[in-house]
Amino acid sequence: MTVFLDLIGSWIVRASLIIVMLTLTLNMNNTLYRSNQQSYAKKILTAVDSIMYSDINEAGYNVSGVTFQTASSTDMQFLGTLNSPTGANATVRWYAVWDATTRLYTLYRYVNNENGGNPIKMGNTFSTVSFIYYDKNGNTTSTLANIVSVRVSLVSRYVLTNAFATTKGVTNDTMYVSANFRIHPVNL
Amino acid sequence: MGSASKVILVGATSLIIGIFAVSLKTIQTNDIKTAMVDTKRVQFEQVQAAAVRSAMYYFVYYGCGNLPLTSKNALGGGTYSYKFENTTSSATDLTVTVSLDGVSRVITARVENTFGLGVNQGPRKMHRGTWQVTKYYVART
Repeated sequence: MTVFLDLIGSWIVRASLIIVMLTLTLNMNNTLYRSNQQSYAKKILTAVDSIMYSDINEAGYNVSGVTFQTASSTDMQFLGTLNSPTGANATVRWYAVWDATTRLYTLYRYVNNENGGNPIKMGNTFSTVSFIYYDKNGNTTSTLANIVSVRVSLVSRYVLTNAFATTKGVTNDTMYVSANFRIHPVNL
Repeated sequence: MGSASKVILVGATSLIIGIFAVSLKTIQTNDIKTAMVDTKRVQFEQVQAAAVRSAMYYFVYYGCGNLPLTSKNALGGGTYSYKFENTTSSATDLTVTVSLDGVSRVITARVENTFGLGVNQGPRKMHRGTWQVTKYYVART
């Protein structure tokens, strides 16, 4: 009888250890997946905000009149020279279009003399797109001629699909990454 | 549980945790690299602006004429060289090459003499004497 009890106890201990190990592995894989996705999302956002930063930085070069043509919270258009100090002025536009279905913004970059004058989609996962404009005294302004700096805020939302979302009543995770910077173009 | 099983169990657990730790470290390294992109960008901009201001100092110091291409000067962990051309009493063309961490940028700037009038005040604008930068272009590479 004692031998049987020892055998059963041994099996229970072994099974428990294996269950703990498998759970540990699953949890660690989940953590790795989340961290990896977050790192990947940051990398993508950095690529987008670097291009935007670079564009805005060149605003006003060789422009004799008003540099900004549009300045709303999700749409800005300005003049500047992007490709050469002696090149023609370009019209640059960054704008976001709200998608009521996904409840996210799609961000576009338009440069009149690039990509055949067609806008390029820079991403469609933005929950927040915000442009704020400042005058030389550091006050917010909507007067196009007074704009000398711009603050950009971007928040990108990603849904991490959970393998158990449908079978175990677990909901998918949502992850946010953001970029926030202010630019003072030297030519303004 | 037999001895062999215990060894295998401990070995497998260590292996799993080890792989996890290494993977997490790789992700963290990628995160740091991504964050460094912004830091490097700001640092490079500061060095570029400082190089142009420094060049303007020498321009005024040496009498506001054409200045040939200088040899490299050390600045903020990088180097820069400058050249002033087509100088008249009212304007000059400045070219500055800045190098930092193996990356170079060529800045083309138009510097105009305000004769003391219409100077754009503020820390962003680059001035020296009555001269100020009116166009500033950083070539992309």
